[in-house]
Amino acid sequence: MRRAALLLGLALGAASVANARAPDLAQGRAVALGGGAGDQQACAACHGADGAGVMPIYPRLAGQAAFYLYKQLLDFRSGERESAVMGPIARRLTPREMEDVAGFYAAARAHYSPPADADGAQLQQGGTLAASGSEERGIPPCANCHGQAGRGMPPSFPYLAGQSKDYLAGQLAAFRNGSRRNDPLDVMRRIAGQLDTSDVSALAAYFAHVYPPARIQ
Amino acid sequence: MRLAFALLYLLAVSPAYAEQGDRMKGAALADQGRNGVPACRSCHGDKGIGDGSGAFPRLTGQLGFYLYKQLKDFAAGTRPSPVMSPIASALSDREMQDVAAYYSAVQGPFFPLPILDAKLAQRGGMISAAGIPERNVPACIACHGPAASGMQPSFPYLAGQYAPYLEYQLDQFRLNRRQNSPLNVMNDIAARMTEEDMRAVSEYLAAVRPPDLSRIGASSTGPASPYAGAPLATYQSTR
Repeated sequence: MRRAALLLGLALGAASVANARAPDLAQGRAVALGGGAGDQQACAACHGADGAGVMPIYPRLAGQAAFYLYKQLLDFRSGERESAVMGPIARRLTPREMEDVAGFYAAARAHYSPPADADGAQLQQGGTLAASGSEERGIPPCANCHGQAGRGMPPSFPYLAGQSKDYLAGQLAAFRNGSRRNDPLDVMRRIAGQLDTSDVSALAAYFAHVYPPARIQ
Repeated sequence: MRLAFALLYLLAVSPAYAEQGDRMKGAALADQGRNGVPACRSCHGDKGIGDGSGAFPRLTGQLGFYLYKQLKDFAAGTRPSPVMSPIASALSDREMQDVAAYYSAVQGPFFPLPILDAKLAQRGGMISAAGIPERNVPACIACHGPAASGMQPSFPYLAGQYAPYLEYQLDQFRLNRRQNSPLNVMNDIAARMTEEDMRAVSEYLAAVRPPDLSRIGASSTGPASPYAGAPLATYQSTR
């Protein structure tokens, strides 16, 4: 598992270096606000102009790793990550626009307010799984790849800290039932397959309450 | 009898303890762990400040003897925890002292607070300062010190502690799962509180920033900073 993660990291690292043109942030902002050449829906309509996300079902993008965002757009376009909403939008973007808008949201700062409901027992269940996994159930700690307390490991591993609870729970469920398939080497599908529904809600609640990274270095 | 034991325990153990912990060794254990013991930092965060979630308590600057005693109690089972009990059982007494000494001495910033419900905060503040007289719930500050910032050697600070953690612990006391407060006094108190009381006092205490007592009297330029430790901006830029 660890070796696979290392190889994966190297492969993705290499891919991201190839994608090294500096994104044009002003152009990225224009795309986010709906000014892409393909007349696509404004990202800001759902994700907010600052990337905070306007509703709990939409993920927070502010400060997310640029390469991760770019790769998701590519995967939405190719259908490797299926989404009735994001698929058509991504197909209207050029790769250059994807780079720019990914760079824009990676650089964005957004306010954070944790979800109001916090169950201490549930937070502890999720936090423990996130930090130490479960050896007997073959669940590696989330922190191994997603960084301490899920604060992200750019370029390829997205932050989870401060992410929307509903979104996280939805994605874990999607990995679990195999409907999201764009994880390198099936890693997330295999991990999510070991989680039960109480783990999924505990992890989602925990990460939603962790203070998000202010900026990706 | 139990009282006598408790007092003896507190009087006899704490002064000896305070001089024995090696902060440097404690820091190494906290940051790196060792074979069979994960780094405390992996859950409790840099300098024990946690991760903002409230899943794990803040340890930064907590009373050393209190921390040491919790580790003892995790190992003994009077404070059962599926996470901490195995870890504490793997620690030697010496290591417990070292790591407690480290966290008691370290300073760290606070994460910014969410906006607080004023009505809830006021209810919580009243419980903290005056208790709930009609239900025989004493004021938190009676034992936990002014502004609930702790009372040596045994009463931990509550001010600035995470709300979900505080609420969860109150509930654990209420359910008699946690049985390591002196004379089980916290169990009695928690049993007289409603869920709403627990939530109110937890949210309130989490929002209190303890005065930096070390600065009081040390400077004539004005009142002490209301925030102990550096602001979060410093934390992020130096990490």
